[in-house]
Amino acid sequence: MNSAPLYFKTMTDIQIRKNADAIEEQLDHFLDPVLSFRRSALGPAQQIATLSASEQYLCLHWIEIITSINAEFAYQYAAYFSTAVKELKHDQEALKSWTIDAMSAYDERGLQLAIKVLQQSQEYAEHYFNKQDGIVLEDIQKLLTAFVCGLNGRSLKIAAADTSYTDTDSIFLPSLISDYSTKKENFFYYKLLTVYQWSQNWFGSWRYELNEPLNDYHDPVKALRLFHCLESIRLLYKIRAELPGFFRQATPYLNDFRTLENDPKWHSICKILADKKASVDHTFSLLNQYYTLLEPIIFSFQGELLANKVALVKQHRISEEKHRFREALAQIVDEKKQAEEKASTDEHNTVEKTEAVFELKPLFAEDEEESNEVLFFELSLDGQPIVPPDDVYSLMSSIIQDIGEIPEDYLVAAGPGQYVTEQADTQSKKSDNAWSGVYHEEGAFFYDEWDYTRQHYKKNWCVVREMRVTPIYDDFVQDTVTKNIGIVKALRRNFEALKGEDRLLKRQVNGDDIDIDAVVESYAELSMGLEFSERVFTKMQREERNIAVMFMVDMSGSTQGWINQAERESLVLLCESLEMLGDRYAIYGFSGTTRKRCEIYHIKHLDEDYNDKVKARISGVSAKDYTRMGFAIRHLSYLLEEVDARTKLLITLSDGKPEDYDGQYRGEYGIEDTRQALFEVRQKGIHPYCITIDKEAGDYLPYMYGAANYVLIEDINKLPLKVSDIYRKLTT
Amino acid sequence: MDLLAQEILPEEYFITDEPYFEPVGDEIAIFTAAYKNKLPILLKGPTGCGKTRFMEYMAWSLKRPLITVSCHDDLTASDLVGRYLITNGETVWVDGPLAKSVRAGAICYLDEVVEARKDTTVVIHPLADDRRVLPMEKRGLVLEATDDFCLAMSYNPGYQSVLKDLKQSTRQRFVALEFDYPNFATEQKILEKEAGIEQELAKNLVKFAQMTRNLKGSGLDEGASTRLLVHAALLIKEGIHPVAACKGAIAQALTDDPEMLSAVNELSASLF
Repeated sequence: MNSAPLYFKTMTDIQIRKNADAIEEQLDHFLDPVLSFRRSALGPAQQIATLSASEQYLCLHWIEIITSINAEFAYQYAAYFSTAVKELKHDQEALKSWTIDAMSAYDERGLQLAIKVLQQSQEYAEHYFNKQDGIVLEDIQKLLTAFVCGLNGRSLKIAAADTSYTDTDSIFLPSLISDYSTKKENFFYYKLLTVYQWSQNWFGSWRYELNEPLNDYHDPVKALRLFHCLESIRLLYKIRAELPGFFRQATPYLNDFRTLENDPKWHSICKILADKKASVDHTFSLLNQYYTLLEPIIFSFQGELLANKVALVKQHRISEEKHRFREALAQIVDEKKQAEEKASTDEHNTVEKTEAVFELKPLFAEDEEESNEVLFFELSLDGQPIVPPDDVYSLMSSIIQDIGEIPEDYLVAAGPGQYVTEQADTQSKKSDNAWSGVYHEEGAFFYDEWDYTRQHYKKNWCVVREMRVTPIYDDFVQDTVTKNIGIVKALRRNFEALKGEDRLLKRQVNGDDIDIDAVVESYAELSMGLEFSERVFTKMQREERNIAVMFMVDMSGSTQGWINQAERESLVLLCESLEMLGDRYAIYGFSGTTRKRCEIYHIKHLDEDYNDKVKARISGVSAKDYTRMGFAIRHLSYLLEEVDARTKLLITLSDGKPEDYDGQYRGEYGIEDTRQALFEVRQKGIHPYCITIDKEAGDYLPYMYGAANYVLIEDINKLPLKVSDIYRKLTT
Repeated sequence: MDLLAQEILPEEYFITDEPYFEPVGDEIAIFTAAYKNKLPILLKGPTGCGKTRFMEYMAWSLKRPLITVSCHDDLTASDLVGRYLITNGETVWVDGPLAKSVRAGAICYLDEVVEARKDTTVVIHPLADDRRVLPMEKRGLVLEATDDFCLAMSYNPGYQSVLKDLKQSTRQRFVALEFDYPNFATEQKILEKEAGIEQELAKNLVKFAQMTRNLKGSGLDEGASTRLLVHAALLIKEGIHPVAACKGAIAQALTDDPEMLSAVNELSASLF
């Protein structure tokens, strides 16, 4: 197989429909590593040959891209492509979306699942075409999360699952709803499912463990179904009282419920459950009463009751919240003690040390009719009511939601011992140990990466961790300053001039004082018959600098030696100058090996002082691995985005092109990803700028940063001076 | 032409009708005690929770004129103290609002004081401690406050950035009163009285406000303030549908994020 590389970039290629031989030849070329004498490309080629020219082009184009990821994946793609074309009704947009989906599945979960996506093109087609009128959960997830958070109670997450249910921590909903003909109806149905699952949480359906009481029945499955039905009725009445507007809108979806309400058999049940004070206890007693008498009705929106999942989540949360609550109490006691001790030293008294006594007093809603649920608790310490902080308050309400009250044993402040063990436990997971442990990706940041061949992002591709630079406490900073004392002085002077000293503006319409010169002139003009100028005041104006700047320092292996030295010296000079200016600045290093090991090195964060620790970290900046730039830009711009500043700058100090160990990142791929990352940065209102010493930078940097947004420094020894100089220019 | 609006000098403007204020704690007693003892007062609390209304109420109750200065980031000391202006070829000194208040023995209320420039502290500090004088640097004299004068300022600890925090040296001169949104029953009562709406509607509006407050920190910077609720209530009273009123008076005022807007609108649609 020695055919010349075939690329499909000319129009003639697209126009001409290929026969099976021509396609097989191309497939042989692409899929060479996974073909053998028992497995040839003939079968797929024959199928592809039956497709239209543009479909053939699409197929071969994607196979070429997928081959660069995994040849087996590409082979499977070739094999399933023609089936997918039929399933997806020759819709090219749909095909593209199916392909991207399969690739994302590969990126996220590996070959097996990617092949599964390829195989299930029928399901995919169904889903895809339903989506046209249906609603996809992903599109409204943020909205629903906010909606549920607003409703009340513990803030529940929204996640996708096959059926709708809740584990009391999240609400699970189907990923697509297309049962109704309009988007509006489908959306409302999502809302109905959400509100119903929320009501289980808020109105106490999960107050008791469910399995145990139901197992006492002869047929636990039937008992569960009847319980579910009765509880749903109770919840609907609760929703009707709590969210009347919603209930009115939901009427078309609740036909089953209406019929049931009018059914004499259910009449007395509805009456009990409609009572404002009806709780899950009532549901249980009705279940007991009617177990043999009634057949349950299944409401379309009710989803499932998964008691085991709830038990698991609840058990974990209860013990954790108890712990956290008691710790919070301990903190309140601490604070009170400190205040008392302070007071006692003032008054020369001694305070008797006694055990802190917490008490809770339930506060009911003003009109007792309203509900039997306790709305608020008043927390008091040693007989005096205290206002708990917001987080403690929400903790209390979460506990009450689970248990119905705050039990006595919760009201004992945690002892110091427990506190320490808890701390030790969390501290053991330092990010520095991350790569060596089993929790490799736990707690890391994930960033997408742009794949220009796909013209799409690879989802959660880079695993990014913030690492610490090992500080070196030596005289590096002091030496650098001494060595460059002349430069430092000049820079400081320069920067001081930038500081935005008060400027006296003359000839203002309004101001603090009178501009005598202007007044005299105005009078002269007035006597000449001209109009008296109003601009006769002086005004002090101060340009407040509101700048946040992030320095992104290349710590790749290629900076080893004098480049690293120059980088560190630049940082020292920058810090010395910036301290004078008072701008907020942060310094981070970046390096890494492959996408699984992207590292950001924290040297100084924005609000950290330029202290000995920071100095030691600058001294500790050392050459590490490779130059994968995209993730670093994304992570740092994420950090910068959180900051409130008028001007935000992201300045990169680099010595060369983006590249990485796996080879793929080198060249066009890396440049395109970096460029894309910089696009994202600009969209966030951050200005990127690059300072480089790579003499060939002119070939790629203008493409990535734009012609005016980079500078090439030929003489590395001038880097320290230049960097400060550039900064000055950039920020004025 | 008949000019309808009346011109009144701020230092002569007394509030004659009792403003509606619903106390939630002992703020009135504390303010009165501080005023008697010539202590300056700092009101802390989120926007629209009744700080300004409280000041109006106190001005009425103490029968002093209220001079309010809304501070902004260009407000300088001379904006407060006064400056020379030119009239008929002569320079004439014109008092700023703070000097006017000191002279008239009024209550001077500096709203959102952290927004003002740093140099304003120079004039606030001597007024806020036992000296109670206003230095007028440009005229080379100091103005001594009478017993009636009172300095009050407000500050919202929530949304200021770290850069614009109130300095310890300033805040430690003041008696602080903390304001927050009133509890359910009080807020409902306020809506009924202030906007004159039915109990049921007021209850639902407060419920809606609490829903938006649940979202504070999860997409919204602030929940709906009592002021916004009053706005919505007034619109509803005029016949606007509650959902539309909540959308216009509350949701749009809270956020521009389209997803959060829809979520807030869905919440109000669920209630009304």
